[in-house]
Amino acid sequence: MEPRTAAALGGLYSAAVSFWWLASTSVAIGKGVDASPIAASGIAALWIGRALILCVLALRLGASRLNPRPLSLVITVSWPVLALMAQAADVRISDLASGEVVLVVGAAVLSLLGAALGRVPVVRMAPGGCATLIGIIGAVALWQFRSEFLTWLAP
Amino acid sequence: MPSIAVRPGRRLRRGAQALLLGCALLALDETAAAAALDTEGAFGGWARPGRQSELVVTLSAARTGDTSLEIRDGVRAITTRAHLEAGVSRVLRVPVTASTAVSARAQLPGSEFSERNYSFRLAESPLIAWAAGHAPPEVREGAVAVPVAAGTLPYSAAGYSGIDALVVDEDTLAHLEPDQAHALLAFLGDCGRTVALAVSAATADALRAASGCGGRGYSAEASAESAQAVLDRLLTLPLPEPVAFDSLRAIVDAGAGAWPVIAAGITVYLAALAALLIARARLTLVLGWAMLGTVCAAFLPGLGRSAPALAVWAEAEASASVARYAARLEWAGSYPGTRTLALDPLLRGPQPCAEGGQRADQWIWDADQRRYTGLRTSLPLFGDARVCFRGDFPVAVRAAQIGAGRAPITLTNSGATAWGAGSAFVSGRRYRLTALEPGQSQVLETGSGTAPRSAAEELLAARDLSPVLLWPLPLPEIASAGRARAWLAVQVAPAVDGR
Repeated sequence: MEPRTAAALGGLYSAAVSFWWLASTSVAIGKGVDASPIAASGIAALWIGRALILCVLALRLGASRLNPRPLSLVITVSWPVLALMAQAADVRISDLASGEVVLVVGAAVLSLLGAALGRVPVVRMAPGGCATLIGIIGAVALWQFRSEFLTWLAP
Repeated sequence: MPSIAVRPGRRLRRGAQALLLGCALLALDETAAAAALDTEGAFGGWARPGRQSELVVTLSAARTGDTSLEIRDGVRAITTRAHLEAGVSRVLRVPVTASTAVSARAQLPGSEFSERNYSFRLAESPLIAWAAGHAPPEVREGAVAVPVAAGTLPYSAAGYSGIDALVVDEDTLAHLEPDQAHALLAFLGDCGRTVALAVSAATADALRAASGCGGRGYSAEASAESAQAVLDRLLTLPLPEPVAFDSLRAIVDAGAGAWPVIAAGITVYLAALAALLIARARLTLVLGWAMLGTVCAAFLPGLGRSAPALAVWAEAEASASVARYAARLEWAGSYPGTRTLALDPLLRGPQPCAEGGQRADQWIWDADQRRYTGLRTSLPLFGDARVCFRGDFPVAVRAAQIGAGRAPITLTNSGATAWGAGSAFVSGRRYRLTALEPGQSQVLETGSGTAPRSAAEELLAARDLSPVLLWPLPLPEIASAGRARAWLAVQVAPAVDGR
């Protein structure tokens, strides 16, 4: 994976969430409704979306023995939007930072797991495909248990 | 020869002991000097839950000083300062939201704080304050009549929000302090349901003249039994309420606040990111751009400032000498940060809006002026804060309608002052109103009316005051407000045929 593909992936997702956040906030301001829950939901959406992307990509890059550094772009390109959302939401900066640390550490661990997975004889035949499949299963599991992960981000 | 020399170590220890003893005595003295605090609610503490009432706080201290007082009523925090003379009690009357958990905390500088919790007696059914010598008879089922003394009547109009009706007699009226009398007159003017019991004809007439809504919420009765019958009727009588603060939201030009700036910032960031990717920029450059964007996003919104917007809506009944107004000062979609909004003295009777507000909001009450003078609030990005006001001002506009039920409708400037151009509303239709000198008339051609066009006109149409005239008002400059709008609606006197 090229770095710019990873950055584009993160950027596109950030753009989509930003658009939703700004549009919803505009409506909320117009109606005189509290806009902070929307920002909290935006933070949660950014976190879970990037976690799902990383779940698939980190394993795949690790298994294919590709450089996992582009994964950092998936995480970091959303930070300016996150910084703005944090000021609009009732979310503690420490919680936000811990969520980002979890993403960074999770990406590193998953790429190592992917590398280990790539050494398994059965997987070695098609490491990218197998890792992607396992990553998708992991992402589905993460989505199923997302409320547990998001509790500290959007209480 | 006995030695009186003391070893240095022992001397040091004695010195330390003396210092500790001094500190302890000083602390004891400071504790003793803490302000004493007592609390009581208006109407003996009776109120409807969630409505505004008045908390009477009695402060005293053994030494002179400025006491800070903080009241928390479960909805907001109210802070005030009061100068106390040694041994002299001072009474503060602060409007609060009636609840079972109101806490007041007073502190003199350098001394411990005193705290007192107060629980209002909340009535779930319509509440009648019976400020009359006669015992309250049994009122209709579902209402609560509470005997109250003259001294417990509120000193501010906001304090009357906690009850649904008031019964007052001559003796009570005679014992009212001037501020209580002003508050009672304001309650009457705000269409407050009031029964004057066994009062003189002059008093009854004076109260009737002060009562709003054409006096429909007011009655003078000779006996408690007849007062009871009238109360039964008044409590079920739908009185035209003063304009609700919520409905003013539509006419506040709140603006977009920080939204356009934030939207532009995100767009620039994402567009530049896309450009870097298309130009196949290095990984470090893309990362650097994301970091720079993060730093800017973290600090830039904090540098922005947005001014609150103000909307004033005034209404005058036909031939009334005063117009009652409701106003709303609002921040919407603000930049983040702690803001202190000074409440201009031109805006009389400020009070927290019923809806909105945060528990962290601090309302600053001036004990000498007996009004809120500021609101300190910590707003997140896109947060909002609102302040509501009520009051009245003299009005000289008079309008009369000629030709009842006939077309075309003729409106006459029956007052002594000229009109500017405005709008006339008859049966939900809007007509252009031209400037008229006193005595001049304008014919409104039926069929030339249009539907309400602006938010203010829609608000007026919803008020159902037809026929009514509407003018935009030039507002005096109010420093705290950025965008200010004001309107005056004057009802037209009933039609006089053939005049």
